Amino acid sequence: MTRRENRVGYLLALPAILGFLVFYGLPFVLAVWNSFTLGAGGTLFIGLENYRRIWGNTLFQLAAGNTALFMGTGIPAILVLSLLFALLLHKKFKGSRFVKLAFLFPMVVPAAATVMTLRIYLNGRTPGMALLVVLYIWKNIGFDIVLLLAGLTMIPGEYYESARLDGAGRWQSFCYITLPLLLPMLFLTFIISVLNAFKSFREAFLLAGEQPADNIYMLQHFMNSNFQNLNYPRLCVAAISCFLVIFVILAVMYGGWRLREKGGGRNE
Amino acid sequence: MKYAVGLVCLSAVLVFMSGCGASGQKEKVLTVCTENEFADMAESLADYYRLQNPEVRFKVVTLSMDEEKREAEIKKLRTAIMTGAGPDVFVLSTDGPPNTEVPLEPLFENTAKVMKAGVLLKLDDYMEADEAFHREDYVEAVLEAGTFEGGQYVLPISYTMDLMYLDSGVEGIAQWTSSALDVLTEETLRETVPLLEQPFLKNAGTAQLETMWQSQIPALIDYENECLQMEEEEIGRMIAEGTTFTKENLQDVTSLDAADFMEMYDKVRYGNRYFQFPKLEDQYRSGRFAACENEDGKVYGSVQYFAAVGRGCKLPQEAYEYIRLFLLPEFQTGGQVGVGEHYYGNIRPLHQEIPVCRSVREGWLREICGGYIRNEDLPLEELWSVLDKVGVVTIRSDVNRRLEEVWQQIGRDNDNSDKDKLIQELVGFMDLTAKE
Repeated sequence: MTRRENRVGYLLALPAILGFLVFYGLPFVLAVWNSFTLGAGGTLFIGLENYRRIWGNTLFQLAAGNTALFMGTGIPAILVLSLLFALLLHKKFKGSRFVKLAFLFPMVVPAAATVMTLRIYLNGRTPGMALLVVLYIWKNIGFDIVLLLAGLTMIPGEYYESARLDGAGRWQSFCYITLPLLLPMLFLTFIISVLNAFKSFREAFLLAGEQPADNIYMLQHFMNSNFQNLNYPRLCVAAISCFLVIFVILAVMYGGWRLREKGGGRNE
Repeated sequence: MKYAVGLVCLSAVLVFMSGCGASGQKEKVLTVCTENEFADMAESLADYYRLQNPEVRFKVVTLSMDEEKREAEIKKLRTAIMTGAGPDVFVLSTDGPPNTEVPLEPLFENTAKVMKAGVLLKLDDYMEADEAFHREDYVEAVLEAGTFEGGQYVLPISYTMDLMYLDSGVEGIAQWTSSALDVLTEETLRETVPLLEQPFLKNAGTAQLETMWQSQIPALIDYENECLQMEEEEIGRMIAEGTTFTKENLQDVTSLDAADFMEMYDKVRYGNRYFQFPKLEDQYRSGRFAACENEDGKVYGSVQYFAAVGRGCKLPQEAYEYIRLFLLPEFQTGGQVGVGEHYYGNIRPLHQEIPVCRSVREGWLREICGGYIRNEDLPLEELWSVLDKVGVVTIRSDVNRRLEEVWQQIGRDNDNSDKDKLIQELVGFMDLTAKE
């Protein structure tokens, strides 16, 4: 690629980069700054005091624990299930198009309608974590399936034919062809699943209100309460703590993937 | 070309210079955020302040009374406040505007937590420098309610107490339970004619029990240490059993003898009521005011209106001087006292909006509250002594509002199994609120 082409590329990407910096980058920097301050406007610097207080706060610990439990069960479950359904739907069969569409239907159902229906079934009972996980999977599995189907379509059929000629079984083909080649798409699906998991607060909020029972009290509830009580620094600390955890997980996964790619390259 | 560039640069410099000049002469503006009912007062005091300080201009922003508009306004304001760009002064009610059909959201959901959040200006230095301010002129316990970690962030303007006026006949009955009073209230309600589909409570002093513990329960939250001051089970028990007056003739008892109860019930239903708000002036001469006390003999109260300055305020001295006007005896006022005009579901204490300044009370009762005390010879000593006893004052908050909702649900459903569940929910809510 020539230098001129490079420059054109950057120029074309500039609006998006600027938009990202103005609407995400700058607010993020401001949020980081505010997490070290007290009160409105971020004028009184207090160092790590907010972090010390919040990490020691029992309610934050409860919220973080519940959020971790929700993501720790919901995300692996949605990834495994969506992979399973994607593999099944990858094979053409009568009505496969309809089934694919059916998986996407929950995405267009308004959260309020879903919650209203669920309330009838709950009949006054308190919703539990399991229900939130099921709701999350039901709502988002369609999109994950579409992503993984796209990934599966990109794997050349010749690889499987060649493997079959060499005597590889289905399981071996899956382990040595499908899974490694699907890894970039799985990684993308994982990131999107994490983002969608954060959006599940809407359902929890509609189901159990601003102050739900302890077992479904999530980080977003904590942040929402701090917004209502005008405690921006605490809100920022909670958000940044969240970001740090996700960042570390993603960095470890990305690092692992890169290492694997390099290792694979050397083996070749 | 060089000439053109030079001209452009010169123009730019001139523009910047003119901007600097303008900012030097900028008018001092204080933005006051208040409720509809306080807007006139806020404007009047702004005019008064401008007599001495004409360079300060005021912009009074009133929160909408329309539910949807208000919600949008509050969201915007909260965001602005958090970034330090909110109003300079707040003159607000602790639980939203009163006397609305639908309870409207207050700007500060929980004033105690807003103090903790650090968005309000600490007023101690300004108060100390203010020679005209004498703390002893005000009810200390009420001023204390506006402090957090020793600092004064909020100036309470008025407060409420849960009082019951007891007719002299009440001496005849030694004790009762909260549930017995509930029955009496219900009976009182049945007897009266509904007004605009809302039961009109006439002489129903008994109903005060409901609001009584709304003042007490939030006091159990220790915001500074992020915990509840009692065990959750104990709070649940308190709520379940109801809290009763601890005056010697209103003892907290677990049950009432059936015969005594029926006697009392009959008297209330068919005879003269024992517990009633006074309708006639002479009843004030014979009756007594009973306040809600805790075990240490401290009387409960809660802040009704308050004034505060935002931490981002660019004119803190001027803002303090302005909010101080609300506490001056000349401008202190109490609310209307609607004896015999208490709506069920929105029952307020006998005396609401008690001015925090001691010296204005008599004038308030005689001149402002209107209606029931006009006689200048009326002995009010006992009322003064009760008002002075206030010792534990809370700033009403989301806990109060949640408590009201739960209590209304309990009252409506009248189902004990639900009651237990609701109490559990409420205690859980308090626990979360304390720790958040």
